[in-house]
Amino acid sequence: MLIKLLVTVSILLSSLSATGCACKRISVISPQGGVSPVSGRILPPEPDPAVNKATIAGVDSNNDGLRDDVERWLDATYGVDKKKLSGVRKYARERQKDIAEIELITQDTRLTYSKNSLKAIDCFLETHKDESWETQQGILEIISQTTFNTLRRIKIKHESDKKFSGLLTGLSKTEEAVKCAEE
Amino acid sequence: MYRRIAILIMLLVPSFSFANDCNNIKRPNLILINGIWNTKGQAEVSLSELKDKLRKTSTFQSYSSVNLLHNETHGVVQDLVDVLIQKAEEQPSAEKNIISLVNIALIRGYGSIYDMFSAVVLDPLLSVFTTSEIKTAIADLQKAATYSDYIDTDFEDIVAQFYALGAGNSSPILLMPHSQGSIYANQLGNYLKSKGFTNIEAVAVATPANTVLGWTSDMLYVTHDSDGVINMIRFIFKSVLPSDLPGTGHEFVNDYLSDTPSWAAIQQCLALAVSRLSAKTLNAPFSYTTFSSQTNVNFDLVVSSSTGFDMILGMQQETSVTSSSAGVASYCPCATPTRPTVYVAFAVPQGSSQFTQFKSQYTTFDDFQYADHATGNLLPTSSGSGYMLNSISVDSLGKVTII
Repeated sequence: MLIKLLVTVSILLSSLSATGCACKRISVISPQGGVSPVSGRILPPEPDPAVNKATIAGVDSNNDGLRDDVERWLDATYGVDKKKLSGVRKYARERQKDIAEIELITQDTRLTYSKNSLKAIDCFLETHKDESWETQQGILEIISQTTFNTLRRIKIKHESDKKFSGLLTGLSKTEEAVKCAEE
Repeated sequence: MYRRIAILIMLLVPSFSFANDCNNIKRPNLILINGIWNTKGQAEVSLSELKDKLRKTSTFQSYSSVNLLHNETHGVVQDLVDVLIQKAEEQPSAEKNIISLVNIALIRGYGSIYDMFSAVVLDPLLSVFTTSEIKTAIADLQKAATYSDYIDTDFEDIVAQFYALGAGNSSPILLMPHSQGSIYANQLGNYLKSKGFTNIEAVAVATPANTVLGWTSDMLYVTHDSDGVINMIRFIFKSVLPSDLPGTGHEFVNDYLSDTPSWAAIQQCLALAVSRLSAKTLNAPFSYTTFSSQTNVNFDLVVSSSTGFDMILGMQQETSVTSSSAGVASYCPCATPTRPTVYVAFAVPQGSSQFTQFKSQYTTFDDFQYADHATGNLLPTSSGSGYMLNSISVDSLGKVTII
């Protein structure tokens, strides 16, 4: 059990180191948005925290499926490696859908949502295959922490997951081939 | 269990690879079932990792598809998260810790909460809980580990999805449950059988159940001897299958797929399950399979009989056994083909004394009863019982047909 705990703690620490990195780098990204000095992408401005937390979906001013604060954080943290950035953006976008599109997840649509989520995970693991399993898990955790960062969002995420109960899902070879297809 | 399976697989690998080349035998659909200690996210990552691991093996092509069946994390575990959220609402200072805790659980599974609670004194995230709250939560999680109150409507929908996948008796189902998913798989297996799916096998990983698909022997499963979750459940409920492999940890990817001996054992169990499914596809009592060979034919194959699942471990030309390779019963009829169309095969029930004997003395057939196909007469042997094949033929290209 102690080993388990140590593993968990080490994962937390690795997650924290990822955010620590982001904290330093995010300061070079203009609060007003614009071209990122890290990735070269055009980023949205930093949203007002109160407004951003007022709704489940938060602020997505450029309508790219990523909450603006998450998009900026991902860029600051993973922007130096375009492939890795692509992997985490894809994964984060699916997690955002879990809560922002919960009303659209129905018995008829849930397989599509699930396949998109599986593609995102495959893509993430593919773009981070040089990382250890623990580091990969740490990154997924910190993306989860950043996306589901209020009790309301956690609640909705929880409700969203329930909708997939009993679903048989998987990717065909054709679907796997386009796992990292752009956003 | 594990060692026995390892030996069997050495014998059977040629047979199942041949069998899957047959046009009349469809490959099984491998279906991973998560346990309720896992979350949706962890289950999806598990599927991805499982496919990645399988893709690196020669057996990946053995499967028609590899899919995930989401096993809802309902019941006590689900309630626990609701309680955590409620606590954070009542106690704003706890919010940050609860959010972190639930997010860790979302990625690493609800089992991680159990691990953290069990080590409460060392974890600052849990400082907002009282000792009694933690004790209650641990007790609830322990109950949850064997939660099995599923409703049939879930299963009806699942059967429809299986049909949509193309699964059926000609395209069998191989369930691969992890943890409490094993209990779910056993119930699902019973339901599927009641709906006419007879061609089902299961390989359970870290199982808290006392059976695999209701069997009492030759069950395919891999459980670490130091799997804390399963050992805890075994301590409470007693009737849990014994562990069968040295190893630690309970998590599907981190502890079972990543651990070399565990992954090897899982692969071997899967291979044997595929062999069994191929055999069942042939239909009892003795249906047929065909396979081709260029020169030397390895006649290992698997069939089923009306008395249950049996294995034909080897086959030889009646008058001579001309070769055998280490570890695999390989009998070549080509060297001295005095009677090229007459062969003798041995079907030995698994678990029988003959089977045990065959494992250690597979090059010696004298102790096994066998049938002379040409005459239909059972030939005298010192002990044991066997089954006679109904017919067999070899064409000019060496293609063998056994009926």
